[in-house]
Amino acid sequence: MEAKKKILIVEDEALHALHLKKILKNKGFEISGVVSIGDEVFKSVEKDCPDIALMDITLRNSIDGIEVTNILRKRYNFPVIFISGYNDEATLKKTSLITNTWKLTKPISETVLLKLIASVLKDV
Amino acid sequence: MNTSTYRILIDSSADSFVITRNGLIESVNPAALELFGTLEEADCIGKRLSDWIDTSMGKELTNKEEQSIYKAPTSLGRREFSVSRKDRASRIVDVQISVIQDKEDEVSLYVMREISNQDLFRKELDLQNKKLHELNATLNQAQKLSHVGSWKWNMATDEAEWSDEMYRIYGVTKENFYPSNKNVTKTVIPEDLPKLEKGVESLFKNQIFEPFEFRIKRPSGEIRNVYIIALELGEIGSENENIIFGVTQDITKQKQIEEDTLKAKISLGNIEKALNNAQKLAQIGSWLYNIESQKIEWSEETFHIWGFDPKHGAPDFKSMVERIHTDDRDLFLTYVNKAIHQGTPYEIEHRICLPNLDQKIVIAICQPVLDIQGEVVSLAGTSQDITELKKTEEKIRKSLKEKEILLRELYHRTKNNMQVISSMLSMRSLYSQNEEIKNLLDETKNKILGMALVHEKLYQSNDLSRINLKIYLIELVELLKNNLLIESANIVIVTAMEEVNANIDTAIPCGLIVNELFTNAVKHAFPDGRKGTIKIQMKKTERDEILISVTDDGIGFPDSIDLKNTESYGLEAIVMLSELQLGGSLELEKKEGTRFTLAFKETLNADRI
Repeated sequence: MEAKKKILIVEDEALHALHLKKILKNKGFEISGVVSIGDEVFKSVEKDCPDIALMDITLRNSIDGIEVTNILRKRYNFPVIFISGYNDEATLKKTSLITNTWKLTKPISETVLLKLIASVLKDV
Repeated sequence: MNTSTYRILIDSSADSFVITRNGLIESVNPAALELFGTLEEADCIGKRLSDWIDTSMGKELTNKEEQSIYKAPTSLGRREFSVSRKDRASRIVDVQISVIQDKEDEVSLYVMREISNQDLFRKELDLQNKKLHELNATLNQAQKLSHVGSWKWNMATDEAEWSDEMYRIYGVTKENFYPSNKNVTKTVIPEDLPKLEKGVESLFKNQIFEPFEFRIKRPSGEIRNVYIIALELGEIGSENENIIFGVTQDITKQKQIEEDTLKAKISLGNIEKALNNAQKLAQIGSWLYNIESQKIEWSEETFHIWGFDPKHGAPDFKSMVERIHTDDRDLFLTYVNKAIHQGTPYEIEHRICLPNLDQKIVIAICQPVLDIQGEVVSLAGTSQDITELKKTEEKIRKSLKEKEILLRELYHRTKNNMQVISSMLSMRSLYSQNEEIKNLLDETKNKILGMALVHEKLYQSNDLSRINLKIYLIELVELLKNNLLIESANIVIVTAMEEVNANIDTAIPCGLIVNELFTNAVKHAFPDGRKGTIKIQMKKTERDEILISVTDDGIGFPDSIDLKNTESYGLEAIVMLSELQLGGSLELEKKEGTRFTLAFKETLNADRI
């Protein structure tokens, strides 16, 4: 049997995080961690490297998700799906500069999210 | 030699001999008679020598001196006296006085030799020379002090004569510099030569002399500024015909002072200019009012602010006051009077009405200046034009007010929308026959109402960002109590809370957590009509940690449920809210009932609106 794919959730809204966790667990993914601050992302990745990460862009009291991903890219190349409430051009441009990333805008459709994850993981 | 031989010798001597005994003349020789202008010995014998001494030259033989002569035992040396002759003419004599003791008497011998005409001339010449020397020294000193030298130059022979100061000015010595035309011309800075030539030329052509200056270079290389104060030609036909007389002054020091003063003036001018520019940019004018002289000094910007023309000088106090808005005048005058009479500084805002009907708003600041006695001698102050600033401030205030209204409206609408959603859920619940669905709908409705309550509190708050967490939680519990139909007889609800303020990002998770815990306690802790108490407490620790606990004395939390690893949506949600969103912790105590304690610091969300 194929090993479960591991997903890291980076989200500072607890109920959104919980929602994502429930959906993904139901679909047979393993959740490597649920964190809300940049520092915790690095700790979690160090401890248990995921196959893919869902990354909220705005993070309270922390460097934002784009910056976190930029730092991650120095050592890791797992795919990152940005999840953002904003859809402005500056943000889009910033995310497009980072390799192996995708972007979804809130509110997220469960179906779209699962399809995207499946397609990203297939390419890996 | 015998006495007669001495007598012959004395009588034939060209020097005058006078012998006195006890002050009276006893014997004279023919030369003495000749000196006194008489042929008769009788004219002299028995008289005092002082009778013949002329007192008009101020060198008289005073009584005191006469006495001292008598008392002195030996030669008193040479003295010079004027002798009054019988024919009223006077002769100048050298007198050698010797005193001889003769038993009780005192005998004095005076040997007098007339000073010749030649000697007189020599003496006079010496005197004149001495005077001349003194005069020269004085002149030299005067020239040295004033750095003025005098000179003459013979055009025909190129002979020249310089005063000492001239040598000093040119930095040369008499020994190594001869002031011939060629030598002097060499010292002049080449580009200044035309000035010198022009000055001399004008003297010859027009017989008019205009003082002029030029520069010279000393042998040391030092450049000096010299100034020809006077030039004069010797009189034609006289022996001075070819001579030019001149007076030269070293004005290097004055020049330096002039230059320094000019530099200081320019620098001061620049500072003033910079200050004026700065004042113009900052729209701050400064002024100084001298109380005693009633003189007012205004900076350029002060003129500009008050709309007066700087060309006419600062206006008098009355004209200035007339520019102040009539409604502000009394206030202004009250403060000015206080400043003058009590030395009280002030900072007031007033309006200025300009002749073109423009109105300005000005901040006037004044600081009285006191003397040592503490008396106010002057007032110093500034006027700042804040008209534009006021306009901008008003605009911002207006814009902020609009945003505030909008935000308040937004909270209000959000609350209303949430209440509509809650009503819809409530209606669905009424129509449902399934208890589980009814429960789910009611719980969700209560959560939405709890969140709506935060928005209600926010739009009622003063700053639109923080609410009173204590009041919010009390009202939330009251709302839940009503909606969960708790019979007050069975379950007693106790709240003990300290005043805590929180922003929306803290209040909503807190509300959701308390909602879940309180609902759980009501639903599960007191089955079968069991009586009990639910206690909700909140306090802030010294370390600014907020502790919120929900305690019940019911049947106790099931041991089978692990808070950290639960599949229950409600419990997992509140654990995540505590840890992920509030950055805190949720602890469970199972001792004589159940106690959940939420602990967190608000720092995580403090900056958020």
